[in-house]
Amino acid sequence: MPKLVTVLAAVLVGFAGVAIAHDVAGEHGREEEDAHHHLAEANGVRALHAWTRATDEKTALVFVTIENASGAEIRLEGAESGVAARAELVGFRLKDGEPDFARLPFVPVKPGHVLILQPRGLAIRLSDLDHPLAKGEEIELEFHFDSGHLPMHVQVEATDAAQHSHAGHQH
Amino acid sequence: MVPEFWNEFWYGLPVTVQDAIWFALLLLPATLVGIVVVWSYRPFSLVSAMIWRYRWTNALFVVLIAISVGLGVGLIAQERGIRKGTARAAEKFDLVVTAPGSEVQMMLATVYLQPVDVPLLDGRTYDAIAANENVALAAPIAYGDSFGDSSVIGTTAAFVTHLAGDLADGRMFAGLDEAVVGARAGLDLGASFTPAHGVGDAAEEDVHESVSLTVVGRMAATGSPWDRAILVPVESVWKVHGLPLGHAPGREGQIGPPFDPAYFPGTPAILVRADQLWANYALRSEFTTERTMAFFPGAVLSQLHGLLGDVRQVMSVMAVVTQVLVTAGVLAGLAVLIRLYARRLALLRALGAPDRFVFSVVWTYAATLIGTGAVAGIAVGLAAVGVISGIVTARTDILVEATLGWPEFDLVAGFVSITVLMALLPAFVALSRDVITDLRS
Repeated sequence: MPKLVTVLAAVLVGFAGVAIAHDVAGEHGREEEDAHHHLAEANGVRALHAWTRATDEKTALVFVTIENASGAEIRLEGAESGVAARAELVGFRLKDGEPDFARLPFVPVKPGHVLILQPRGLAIRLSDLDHPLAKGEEIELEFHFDSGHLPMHVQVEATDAAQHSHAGHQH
Repeated sequence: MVPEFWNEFWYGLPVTVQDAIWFALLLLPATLVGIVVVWSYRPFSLVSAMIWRYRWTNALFVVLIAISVGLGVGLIAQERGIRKGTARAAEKFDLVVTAPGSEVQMMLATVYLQPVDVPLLDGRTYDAIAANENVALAAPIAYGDSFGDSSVIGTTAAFVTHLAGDLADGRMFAGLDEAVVGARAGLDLGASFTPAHGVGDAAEEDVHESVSLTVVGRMAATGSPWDRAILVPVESVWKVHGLPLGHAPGREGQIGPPFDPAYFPGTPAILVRADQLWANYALRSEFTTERTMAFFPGAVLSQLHGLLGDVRQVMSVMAVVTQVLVTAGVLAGLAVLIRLYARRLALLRALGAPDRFVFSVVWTYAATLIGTGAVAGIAVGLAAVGVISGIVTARTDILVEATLGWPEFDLVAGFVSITVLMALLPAFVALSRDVITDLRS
């Protein structure tokens, strides 16, 4: 009888172990998948946490963090997206006391430096959106660098969001 | 969903035309009601006689409406004026580099001269910024001393020119004991002064008592707190504090850049300007490091304006609520006023005047009071923003030029439309009164 109990206990522990291992592996897999979703990398250039705000207007601003680990100066020149007729690099300024965005030809990023596209700063402006953007949706966008193009997912956050919902995660 | 062609048409119109259309649309209900009510009648001479008969009572109503409308539009215009004034004051500060800390605090210190104790940037950092290929101007901004209610700021001649253009009077400082004053600083050309260590109540008057600086120039007005500042060569600030003068031995008499990093004592902030907007963003990325913080004062200010945006909405709601309360008061008052005219109106009806004519007389009378009050309200609003702007400018040194714009005119148009629509009620009430009773009263 004690032997049977030991066997049963071993089986249960075994199941539990397998289940936990499966869960952990699943969680890890999801995290990895999630990380890949919010990170794009090519030629030593990393783009992290691209996001925009939900809107039913015709324009939207896309923000992202770009890390230049390529060892050479790169230039962010713009972008393109299937959901918008135009995607251009813009910079924030105050014009007569009112917020305004001016089109920029490019912005260079020195090697080892980080360029942050954020509200009231740099952004990619999507114009003539072909549909309203809803929170939770993802759109595809391709950043244009002088060193090449970098495609990535752009997370649509709430209308009043100030950052990506995963901001702070070091994917 | 709005049709595509409509969006293209609407957004293709000039902004002024869009504003004018909005204004016309807001006035449209009042106009349409007016046309329908007075159609085929001419109640105006009778109405003017009615207004003249009780002119002081009517004048009181007009004044009440005018004050209410004036305060409403003045409040909104003032908020916009302050927002624009603070933005204009920050316009010349493209990019500011300081030691890491609070962007808001550093913006207040650098742009609005509300100095704080902060770590200094060293000569190596200044040199790296000044030598950057994209930098057109790198000026130290060394604050901490004062004279009376003026901050004494150490900087370069290039910054003075960048800030205010050519001097309005005198010449640029050229020696360690010379200063250029802002347009509103209380010192005349040729005046000498001894700066105090620190600012405000904490200023120590006798720390630099052996120092005497002479005013040699006056800047043109900038509409910012810098109009009250005293600008001296940054070397002068260093000398006053017993520090190296920023230049290698043998060049101690030099004023302005280039500075020698080994003899550069430090500066709380550096104003950086590039000729292109994109270059400013590149510089920001470059100078955001563990030892330095680079920020756009305009962006920080816009963030603060964003927070104030909620206050603006509250103010707008308050203005509308005030208008509604006044409308209710006006209507109640009109009902009372109509009683003053009850006998005359009853006489009109007894003589065979059609009900619609009497209705148009009562409505036109009410609409005239409302319209006159609203127009007078715009004048009250203009006067109010003029007075308040003057007080704010005097107290903050930030030039606030509030003027009435389309948002205010829209508010007035909306008020007029709603009120004259509601004025139909007293007109109906006037018709429902018994003729015989009123004739006997």
